[in-house]
Amino acid sequence: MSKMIAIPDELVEQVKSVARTEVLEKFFIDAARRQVRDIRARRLRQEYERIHRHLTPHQVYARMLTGVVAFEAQYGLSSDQFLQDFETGVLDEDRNDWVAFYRWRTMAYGLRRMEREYGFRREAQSGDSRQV
Amino acid sequence: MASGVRHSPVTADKFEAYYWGIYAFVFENDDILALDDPDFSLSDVDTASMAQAFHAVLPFRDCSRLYVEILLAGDGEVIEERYAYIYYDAEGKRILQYDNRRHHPQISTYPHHMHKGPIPVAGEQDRAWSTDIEFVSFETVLQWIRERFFL
Repeated sequence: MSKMIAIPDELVEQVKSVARTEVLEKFFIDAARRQVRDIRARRLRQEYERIHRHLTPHQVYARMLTGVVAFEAQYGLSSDQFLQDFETGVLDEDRNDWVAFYRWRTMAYGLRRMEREYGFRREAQSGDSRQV
Repeated sequence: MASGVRHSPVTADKFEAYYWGIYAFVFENDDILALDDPDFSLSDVDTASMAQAFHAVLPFRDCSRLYVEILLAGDGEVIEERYAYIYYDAEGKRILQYDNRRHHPQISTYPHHMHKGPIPVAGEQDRAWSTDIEFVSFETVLQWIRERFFL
């Protein structure tokens, strides 16, 4: 005797959609594109490694610090205070430069990470460049 | 004082792979992007892998442009922990913005949300909406712009 089992409607719809030719085609096209992109990415990386020298952590840190200090001077706010205010919505975007605070946020968090990862300190940066 | 590199090579490698994937994807979209525009910019690979910070300005062939700010994180895979994608038309008016700043807890897709239309004038609120992209990322946003504005 046959036995009835319940199949969720959602699952039925999923199976139907996968079975549709155009969906299947798109799936394979996307997968092929991703493969090509991976190959291209590896080649670009190899080419870069062959031609360029990587920046040192110190160089990356110094560049980010320059950017962050410029924002702090422009807005008269420490990055710590800025992050707290911007993330909680106390501080809205700058209407004159809508992207600025997102840029500052990325750089300020990036700077924090480098300080955590590599032990860099702002004071050392301004005092003795050999320290960092 | 920092004497040596403490960054995990495995993690750094993943961030680099993410970066080159983005790089390849950008050039894959050269039919809609104006890569020779002087404003075109992309973070360098070392900033992306060491500071896990990524920035891009992508001018399109119709003179619209996309500003990208991403803070990456590694949790097995590379994720876009904090992001903002802000898309402007040729006249410099904002068309849409995706970001996950945590200041709209009422939105169903919190913290992910979007803003539509021009930047509001002083005193007006920048209304937030649930995001219309299931998974916001560099790839999905650029793909969405292509489908919506260039097909």
